[in-house]
Amino acid sequence: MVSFRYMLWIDGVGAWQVCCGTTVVVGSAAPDAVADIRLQAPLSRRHAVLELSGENWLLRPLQVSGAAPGESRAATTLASESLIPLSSRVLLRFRIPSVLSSSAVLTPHSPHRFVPHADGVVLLADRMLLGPGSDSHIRCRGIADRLVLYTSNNGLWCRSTSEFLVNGRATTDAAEIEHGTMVSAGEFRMRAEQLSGNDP
Amino acid sequence: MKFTFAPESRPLEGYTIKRAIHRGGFGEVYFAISDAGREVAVKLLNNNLEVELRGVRQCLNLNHPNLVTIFDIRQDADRDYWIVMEYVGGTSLLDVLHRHPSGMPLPEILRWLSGMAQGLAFLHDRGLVHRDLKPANVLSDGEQVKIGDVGLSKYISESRRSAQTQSVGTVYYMAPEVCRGRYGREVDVYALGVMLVEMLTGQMPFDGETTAEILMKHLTADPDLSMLAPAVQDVLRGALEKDPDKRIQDVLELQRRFCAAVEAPGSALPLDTGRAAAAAFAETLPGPADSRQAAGQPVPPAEPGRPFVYDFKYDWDFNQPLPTAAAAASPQSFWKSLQQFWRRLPEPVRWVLMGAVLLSVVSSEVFVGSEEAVAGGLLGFAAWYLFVDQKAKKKKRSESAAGSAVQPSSGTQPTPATTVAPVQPAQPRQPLPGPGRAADLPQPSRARQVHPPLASPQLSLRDRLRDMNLSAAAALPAVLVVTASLFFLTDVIPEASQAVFFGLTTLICVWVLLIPAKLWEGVGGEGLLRRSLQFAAGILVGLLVWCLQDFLLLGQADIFRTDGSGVIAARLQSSVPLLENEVPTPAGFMAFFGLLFGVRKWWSQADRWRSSRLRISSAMVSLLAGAAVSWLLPFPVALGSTLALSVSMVLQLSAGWLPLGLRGMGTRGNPAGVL
Repeated sequence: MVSFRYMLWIDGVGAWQVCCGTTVVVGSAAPDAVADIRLQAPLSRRHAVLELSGENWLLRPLQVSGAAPGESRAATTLASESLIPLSSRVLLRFRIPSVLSSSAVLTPHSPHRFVPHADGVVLLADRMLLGPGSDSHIRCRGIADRLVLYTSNNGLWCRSTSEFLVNGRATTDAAEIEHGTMVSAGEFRMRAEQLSGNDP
Repeated sequence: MKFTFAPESRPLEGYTIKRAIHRGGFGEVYFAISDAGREVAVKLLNNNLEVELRGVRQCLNLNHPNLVTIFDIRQDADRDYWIVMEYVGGTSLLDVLHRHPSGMPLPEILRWLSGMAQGLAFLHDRGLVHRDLKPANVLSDGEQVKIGDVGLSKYISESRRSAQTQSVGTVYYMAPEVCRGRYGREVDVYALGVMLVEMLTGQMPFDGETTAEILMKHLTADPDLSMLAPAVQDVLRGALEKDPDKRIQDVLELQRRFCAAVEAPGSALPLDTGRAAAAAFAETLPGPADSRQAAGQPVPPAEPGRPFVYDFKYDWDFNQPLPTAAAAASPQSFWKSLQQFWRRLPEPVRWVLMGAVLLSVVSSEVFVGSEEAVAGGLLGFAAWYLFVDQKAKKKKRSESAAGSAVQPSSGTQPTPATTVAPVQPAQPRQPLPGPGRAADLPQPSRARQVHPPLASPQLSLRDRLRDMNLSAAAALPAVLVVTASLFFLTDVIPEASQAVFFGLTTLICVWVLLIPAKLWEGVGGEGLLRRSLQFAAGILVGLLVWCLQDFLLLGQADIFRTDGSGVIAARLQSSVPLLENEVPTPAGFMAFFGLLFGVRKWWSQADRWRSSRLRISSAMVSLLAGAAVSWLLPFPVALGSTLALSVSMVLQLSAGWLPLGLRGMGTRGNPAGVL
């Protein structure tokens, strides 16, 4: 299971869920859901597991999807830009935007949505980038310098090469992100919300 | 600049803002969650205009799976208005077009087309016109296509040119008749046609470096569809027809014809799957104008939908009464029919007729000389051939040359989903700055009215004086050209001294008319009062002109002789003689110029927002007005009508004029528009 989950609400960009941990469970958004990544789709409560193995992400189905004949529960190494068929009609797109990080991004490829609503999910391996470039995990055009989010001491932290504001206070050092933390720089503004295990 | 409301703000009771979505000219749109957990988009209106709200209120209870639903209109503690609407979390057609710069796959095109056509048909059936259909306003939430509208600002001007909606839209998708203030359902058909071309080819059918250039292409250029199959070309030409009356009238008809065209064997579509999809879509289409609904049969139930914003406008003007049968039979509609008939005539024929009438009237008596009519017709044709036809051909040649210059060599480019050979990679669609983006042109309350600017006219006295001076200076060469033309081409003014008199008289008239016209520009005013003032000015001008002809010793010249009796002269002969020895007296001059100035709305011919720099029809009406006044008084008809014609032409040619494409770009720095 993941150590913690965050929802990032970013002005003019979208809502992104960040899962910090080496094992991420994907499943349905039923009322008794237990998965870390929940989809409003006809899936099992625990449908598949994404595991970080070294620098690679492995997909291990917990249920047979029926998407392909001869399907097994063996783990598969995921390559960037691959599609994950959770069932015959539920597809997720998996990509690793930056070669400098193993963190990956999941976006719905089929017309299904994450619960709670999010434009995508970032599987945070070590660090992730927010910035205007295509190698960013979350592309934010309103930010001049990239913001790096990373895990440290069982918490989520951020830093940047230039000054930014955390809860209204300017800083150039790393700052811990907690529930309700507001990070802003120029036109960029983001609020982080920590999701508990029971949160949808 | 950051958005006004930070995440977790609650400016609106019952809703918590989670993040900002977008900022447009109208205000800001946020993603919010209601206390019950419903995801919505909330739009804060910048301008609390009643008309804007009224338009939104009319859409409150519309419910269609292909339209973004408006849930509510609320007011916050600061009395600002918010629109609560469905949130659409999917991708927009604009994003999809960015991903397919050489054209989208046909099944995808058909899916988007189907959703748009169904949504628009629903609106049109209810008397609504979207008016700002563009890829950014069309969204796909999962598999459901939805028409919405964020980033749009429409408001009603309260200025003198009121009842004219000014809106911000996108010039690329704007139908030509929008320039004339016509907003029927055909506007949406046109926009859909443009989007179809874009989806098929990745290219805009009407593109250009400037807004004015794109607008001009909408008005005059034929789209280059040569890369498409002939059957598809026919359908798209029908959708992109310049004349809204000749255009495909129904979005469902457009969809049906498009599907039939792409399914046709000659369409040479590379994808069999595309054809199968087209066939499947064609089977599911309703009959003309949704025959299922017309027949009272149940329409498939609306699927539960979700997110975004739209801002539809009724295709009638809120400030105008609904048309009645009596109004339809009024002389105004007869005049309109006449105008339509005139516009439908082939352009060369129009020029021939205009030349014939002009020379007939000018050269001798009113409508008698057949030789003059023939000569005038020939001159009119020559003018059309030399100045209009050749120019159009030259433009076409240059456009085709430019097009062929970028035509790819065969087989070197990736093949798109249709027969389209990509001409060049699509330019990134950048929002045009300010005025470029918004091509919303005014809605004149009458078709012949001037076209107002995009921004309310805020002219300082200095601007007016500058415009007046520039126009007065420009009148000098215009007078020279017009007088020289009449002197050399007609026998109205056979002698040089008479030409000098004619030119000076025209110049005096134009200068005198320019002064009030520029002072009244952009300011509301009573037409009757203005005519009265012009009448008074005309009397003074008449006296001045009589003094001028007296000074030039032209009193007994033939041009002043008239053998007419005149209705007014007969009445006044005993008290105020208007005619003496068949020559107008000073009172005759004053009466002629007074009436001539009083009968026409000369200020509209000098308005910088008139529809075109030189309206031949205005000049013709002035000519007829001059002839009528001359006949009534009497005054020499040839001289009177020619003077009226000359004044009208010089006034229009010299007064500053702002081309349609430049309107809304502000007048600072060039108050006179284009001189």
